[in-house]
Amino acid sequence: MYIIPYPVGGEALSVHYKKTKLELIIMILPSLIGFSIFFVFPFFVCLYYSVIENPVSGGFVGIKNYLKVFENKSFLLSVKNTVFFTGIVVPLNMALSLALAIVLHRKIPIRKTLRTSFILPLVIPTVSVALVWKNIFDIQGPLNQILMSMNLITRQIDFLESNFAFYIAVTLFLWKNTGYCFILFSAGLANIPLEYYDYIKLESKSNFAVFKHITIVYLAPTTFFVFIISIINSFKVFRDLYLISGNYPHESIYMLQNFINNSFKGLDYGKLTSSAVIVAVVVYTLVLVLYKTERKIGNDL
Amino acid sequence: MTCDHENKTKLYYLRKIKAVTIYKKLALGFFTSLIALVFLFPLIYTCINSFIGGTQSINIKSLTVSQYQSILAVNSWFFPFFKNSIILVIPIVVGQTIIALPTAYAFSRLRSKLFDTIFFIYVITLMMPFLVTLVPNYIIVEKLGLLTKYSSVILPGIFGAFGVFLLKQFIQHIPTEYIESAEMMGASQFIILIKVVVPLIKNGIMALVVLLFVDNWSMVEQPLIFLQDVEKFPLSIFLSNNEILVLDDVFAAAVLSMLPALLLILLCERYFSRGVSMSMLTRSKTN
Repeated sequence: MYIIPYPVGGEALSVHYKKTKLELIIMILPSLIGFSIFFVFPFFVCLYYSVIENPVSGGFVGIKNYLKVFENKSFLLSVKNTVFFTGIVVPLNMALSLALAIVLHRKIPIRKTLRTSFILPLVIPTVSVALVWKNIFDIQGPLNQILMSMNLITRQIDFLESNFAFYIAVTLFLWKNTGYCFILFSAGLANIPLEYYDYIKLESKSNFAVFKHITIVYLAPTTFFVFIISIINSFKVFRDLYLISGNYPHESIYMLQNFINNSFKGLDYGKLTSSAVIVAVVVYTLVLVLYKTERKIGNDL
Repeated sequence: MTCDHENKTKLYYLRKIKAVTIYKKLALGFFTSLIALVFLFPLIYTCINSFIGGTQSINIKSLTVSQYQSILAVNSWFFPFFKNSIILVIPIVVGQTIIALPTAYAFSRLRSKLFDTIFFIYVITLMMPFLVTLVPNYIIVEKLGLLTKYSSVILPGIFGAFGVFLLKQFIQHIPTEYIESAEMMGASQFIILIKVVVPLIKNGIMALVVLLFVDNWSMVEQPLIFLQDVEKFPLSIFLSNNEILVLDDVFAAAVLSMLPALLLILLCERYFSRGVSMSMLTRSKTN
């Protein structure tokens, strides 16, 4: 079915001369040094702290801290919530932005304005966002007022403390990140040469066939990139949530980051560093799997 | 005669199809606009509320700029925090861009197992929930004795991995012929970077600048933890602490804090859409 070889991008330009290699290494050095100082080396310090009793006395205790963390109910809750949240939100986000990208791919009037209005949520500073959302869902806020006046509820509901909190968090994420993924998908769509579509139109008339054979196939690298960005952003959403619901939010949105934050406040180095290391290991595995999958898919096609 | 009749039917159907297409487009545009309005709603809500004094309900007659007066002139707490935000954010944005450019270029060319692994580590720090990198950062900053200085926030920001990740995506898709020909003319890598890569990457750089600015403008945890001095706090922290402020002033402050970001995005929007687009350019073999 694939008449045209899968487009491959980003082949490395080989380094011909030794002098080139030296210069490139000089280029990379500042960032490497700074990055090592502020991110890598501290991580090893973190690792060290996680296997000793506490920073003051420094007795080696092996994996005692890790065991304590695994037994900690808050930790387990936060992990469950985080995984659940990310698992729901990332596919939704990708589906929604893909749909928008396909729809807006045609030449509709005021397309540019629409595109800008989808980017705007991403660039509005978090504090403004938190402010507005807190205000809207507040007990005396507009949403409650509207629902009361429509007689849908009899008493005001504190949305952020109810089971709705999870859906509010999901909506917050979708609102913010759909725009960015939308642009990525739009660009990916725009790069599919028109001839491919013509060929499919010869074969069958249905839009679904077009979608299945051309769009999904040639959108795969974009999808991978969007997937990674979505996951990165789903962790960043913690910042907005924190501003909205504080240190101890409702049960359903108590995330991993809340747990780490609270440990930080309690200055419990053991708990703190071991949970940080656990998260690091999990993320490392996840990214590794993703990269290997992407390479495999790229090669198969 | 039959020819004429055929043509008339053809025209009739063509016009019909054209009409349907136009209606389809309009309908799609309409529905998307509805969705766009939902997206814009919080922004509009903030703006409207910033012109209302006190917790009154929305009323055309009660539009006033008292909030703005309050925070800019009467109490004037706005400017010091704004100044702090600028002091923190601009060096981070500029610094990270300058450092990330040569790094991304080098990563895109040095492709040994070693360097690929190092780049992989860069990417991992991006994916980690933010506080995981915060903890090690705090330990180091404390040991370096930088606590309560502005550089405790600025320095880790400059060496962040995001710039390298994004720019490498762009640089990877520059046609290799440009670089090869420059090399054959005997240019050093630095010259290639400045004269060949940067002009081709302009869109990506703009995208990076906008994203970095927005991300760092609203940072809350780092200043809170590293700069323990209230006088050095940026705007974002102060705005997230509603207990201190009268609720009404907050909206005006929110609007004003949005302005730099909005301005930047409006200025760079044409770069931004194209910029993010370029990162997905794949070199198809038919090109």
